[in-house]
Amino acid sequence: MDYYIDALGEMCPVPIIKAELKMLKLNAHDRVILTTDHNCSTSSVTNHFYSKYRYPCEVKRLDDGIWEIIIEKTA
Amino acid sequence: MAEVVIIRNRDKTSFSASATLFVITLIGYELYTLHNYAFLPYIFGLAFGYVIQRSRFCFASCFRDIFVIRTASMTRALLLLLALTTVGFAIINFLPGQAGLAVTGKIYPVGIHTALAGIFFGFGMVIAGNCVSGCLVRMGEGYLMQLSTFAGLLFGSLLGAWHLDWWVSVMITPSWTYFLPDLFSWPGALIIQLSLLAVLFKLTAKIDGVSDPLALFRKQQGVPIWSYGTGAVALAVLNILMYWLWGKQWGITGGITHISGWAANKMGIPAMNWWYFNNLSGENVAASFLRYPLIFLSLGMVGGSLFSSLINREFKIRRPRTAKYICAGLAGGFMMGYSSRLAFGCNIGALLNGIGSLSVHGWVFGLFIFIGAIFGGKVLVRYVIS
Repeated sequence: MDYYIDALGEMCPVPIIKAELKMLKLNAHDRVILTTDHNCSTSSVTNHFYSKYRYPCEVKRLDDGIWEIIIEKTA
Repeated sequence: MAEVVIIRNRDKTSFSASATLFVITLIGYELYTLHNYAFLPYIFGLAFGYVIQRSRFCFASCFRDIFVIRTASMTRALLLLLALTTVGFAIINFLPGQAGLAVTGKIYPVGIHTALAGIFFGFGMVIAGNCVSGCLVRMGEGYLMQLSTFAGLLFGSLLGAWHLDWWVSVMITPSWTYFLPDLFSWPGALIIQLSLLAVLFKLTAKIDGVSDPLALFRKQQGVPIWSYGTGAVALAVLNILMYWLWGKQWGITGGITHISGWAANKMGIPAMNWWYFNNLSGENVAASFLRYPLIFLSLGMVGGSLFSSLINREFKIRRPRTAKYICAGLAGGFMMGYSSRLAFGCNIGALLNGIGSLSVHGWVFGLFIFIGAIFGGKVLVRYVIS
């Protein structure tokens, strides 16, 4: 199942914390879809989930300075 | 939820990017012809801003994320940057025609003031969500929150410069200055410092389990951004190159303090009589607050970040989600501004270049930034972002 998180206007490291807290409650193959306008998140969120948990992340650009980061819980 | 696709007027963005490039070039030309002393720092400022914007290099993350979210990618990038800077500065030290690190390096007294400054700086950096260099880059990217951080930096550094007379007489003058090559000889100092950095690099694997050093260079697909490792290498190269060509190392808060000193002077506060402006600028400051070269470096960093975010279509005016962030930014900026006067620099001047210049005060500052960041992290999680 997909879970949407709105992190627009948040400061660092709130987008990561929001996504991680949600992630802990999910089952395998659920996805968190994070909408963010923080430039750093395009790197920090993906780095965090990929290097720490090996969860694949995908970054999609929605508009100038707005992204959608899709994180899949693999296990 | 259906996929949101927003079509935006492409012409508007490319117009803004071209206009920015035009203004950046115009300022550069103006400085080159009329104020040549400020030209090199301005150009390097543009490059620093561009690199930090592209690579998302973040000093706040280096200290905060190892315990707030238990990730150490950025910390490893900082350790790489410190190691490269150390080696680069050491090579420049021995090049003919160079004054050497003992003269032009960031080597300052270390004492209780350094520890207090570190705690203050670390705390401020975490609650503001960025360091001093990060604040300038975020401003270029269109963040409104960082305007309050910048205001805090201006006030904090002014108060720090004012109080510095007292700190100098009570604490800084009696403190000792330790330059590692004086203590252990050059080869010894380099071996000790690089081994320490390597050990810390190894230890970071205990935090997030990432033991492959090349993970630092992993590139994220889908967005045109650089890896943290690439950012570290580029920042090291720029800093070393600037030191070689200009004879001075990267610095920011000196410029910010001179802006607030100028404003205070205009308002009738006799800032030019303070120890900070008398001793560190070494010229007739009443007339030349705004001639301080690091002001142009800071301006360049904002410009470089603005240009980079525009051409990569990442610029956006961002409003903070709650008013709490504005207060946190202001308070954090104030603490960083004040403490960077005590430590003779911010995360760049005192931490990066202090350690890069093999000065013990850089290490002590870094250690206490870490302690301040632990407190800051607790306050951030409990009060700011809850």
